[in-house]
Amino acid sequence: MGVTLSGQDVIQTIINGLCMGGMYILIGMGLTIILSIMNILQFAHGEVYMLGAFTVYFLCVLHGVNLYLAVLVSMFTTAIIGLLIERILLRPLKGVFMSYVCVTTGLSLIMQTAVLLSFTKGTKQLPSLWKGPLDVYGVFISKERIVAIVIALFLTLGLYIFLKQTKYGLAMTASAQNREGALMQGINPNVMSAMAMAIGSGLAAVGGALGGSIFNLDPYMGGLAFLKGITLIVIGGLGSIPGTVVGGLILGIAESVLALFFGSQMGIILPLILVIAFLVFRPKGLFGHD
Amino acid sequence: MTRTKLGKLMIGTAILVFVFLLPLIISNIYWLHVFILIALMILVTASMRAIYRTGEVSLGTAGFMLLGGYSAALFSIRLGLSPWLTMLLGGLFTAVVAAALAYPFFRIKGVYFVITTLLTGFVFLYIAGYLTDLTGGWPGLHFFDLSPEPIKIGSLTLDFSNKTNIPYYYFALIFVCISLFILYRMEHSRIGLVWKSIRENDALAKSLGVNIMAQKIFIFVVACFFTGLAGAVYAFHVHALSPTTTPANIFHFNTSVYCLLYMVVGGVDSFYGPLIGTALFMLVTELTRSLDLYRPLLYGGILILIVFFMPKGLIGLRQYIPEWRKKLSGRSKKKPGEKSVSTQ
Repeated sequence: MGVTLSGQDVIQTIINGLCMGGMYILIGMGLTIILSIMNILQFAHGEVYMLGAFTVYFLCVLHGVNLYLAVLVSMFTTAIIGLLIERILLRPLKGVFMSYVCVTTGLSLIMQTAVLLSFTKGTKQLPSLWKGPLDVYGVFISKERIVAIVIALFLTLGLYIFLKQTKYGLAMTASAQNREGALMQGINPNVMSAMAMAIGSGLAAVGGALGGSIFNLDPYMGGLAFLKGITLIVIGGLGSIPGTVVGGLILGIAESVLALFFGSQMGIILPLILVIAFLVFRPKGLFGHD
Repeated sequence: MTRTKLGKLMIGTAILVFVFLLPLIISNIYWLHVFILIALMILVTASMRAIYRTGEVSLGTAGFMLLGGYSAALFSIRLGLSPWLTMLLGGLFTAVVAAALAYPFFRIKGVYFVITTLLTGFVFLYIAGYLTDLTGGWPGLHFFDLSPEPIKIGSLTLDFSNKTNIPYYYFALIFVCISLFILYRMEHSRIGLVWKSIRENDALAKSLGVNIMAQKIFIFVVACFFTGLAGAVYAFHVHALSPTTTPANIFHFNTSVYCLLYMVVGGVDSFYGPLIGTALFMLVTELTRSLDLYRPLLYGGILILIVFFMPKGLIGLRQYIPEWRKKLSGRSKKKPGEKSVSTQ
């Protein structure tokens, strides 16, 4: 291989992997909730993620709002946009598969172009979440990645508690497991769909903000993010939250380790091949249920 | 022969004659390039529709085009074979790859099939970029001096390099017409009915003794064969292939989405839908080049509007106009105070 590894490299690779994994989890969580409750693949989810990042950019860089406040505002506005998408575009379709594919892909084209046209050209980046490296016994770790990991962890845990402990969360879980059964218990599937879209979009927006503070922003960043999202929900099992978390961590770490050894291109290809293999040979994923 | 059939035949002949005489009217080299692209995309979209006939949406189209294009070009460059042969080989190679993938792919359905094909397209793109020694890597593959050999018919020499594009236009046209004819015959034969039965109700079809898996694999391989062929013909037209991941690249995932768009806009239920959709859409695209940046916005909007207001696509326009007229007149007749009945 010709690569000599120091402790620094190993730790950094793992931290990078965890950080990317956290971001992927935030995207994949939304996708998996939407998929399990509404039974559709939200092709515009990557664009929702991109929109979240650009909202933060708009507030924080262009208008000088505090970064963390901007992330919070972005989360809520994007959640509202998710609600609107569900109410205006998705609810009237009534379960025709082809229509969902067309509407959500159409939506992603619209959002990409709208953002492309509303911002000036040039590289854009969000300010760092927390500047500088952290010195842990001689190994330097960038603080922003730690913050990203913590935020992702926090939100995931919050979602998990919401789904397991609260009335609405349980209703959502029930609806995901059996739509008709839940309907008979008085759970309105439309409300559940709306909630799924709102929560999913909000999480994606935070993911976008984290991604935007590490990478550059551009209107097409959603495509790759979407790809990662579906990769990890397939690995983790469609519709399973612990599966999504584990899938995200595996994907993030695998990618950064593969990139270390084979270059970043292979870090992209191999997970995709892995996913195709998963879909074909073990469609239920690691933690999957039907 | 009934009257409508005769009318259809006449329209079809008229269009064919028009398309064949087109270079006499517009001999501009750029426009001919556009027409070649339109012809190829029509074939690609028709192939996508063929897969959709079994009820699955494949978004790997761009990837299979890339496979056909690259393999044809590489067979020619590395092995020194004639482009006429390698175009066919490109198509066959794509078909072989498709055949290898088809069985595992068709074990899954619906959304998961979409995901798998989509990812496959991406994998092909990345592999083309990654295998630098074989494919030239990210800078792309250029073979400007490599064109199909000229054909001599009497004193007339047909030169297929990019000097005028006219011979190549005729070649692409004839190729696409033959391919479309084959697809059409397949759809309107017994086998087409079998495919239809699979889409309508696969359990029932199975109970009647249809081997669903074999049929799906067959249709997928055929569709990918034509997609790959179109990619190969495209390759020897532009003489430069690239695996870049920008939406401008024809092998990018966006092309698959655009094919979906053409198909849905034209109308999925009819064989002519994708033809009309692709031709119309690509022409409009060309005529509005100045709006280049806004184009995806327009496309997305049209796609959504079509799904909401014309689920049968442009081909169903004849049905929609009376319906809309009825709705409009019904609305205007209502008195201002009257409440509208929403359950209609």
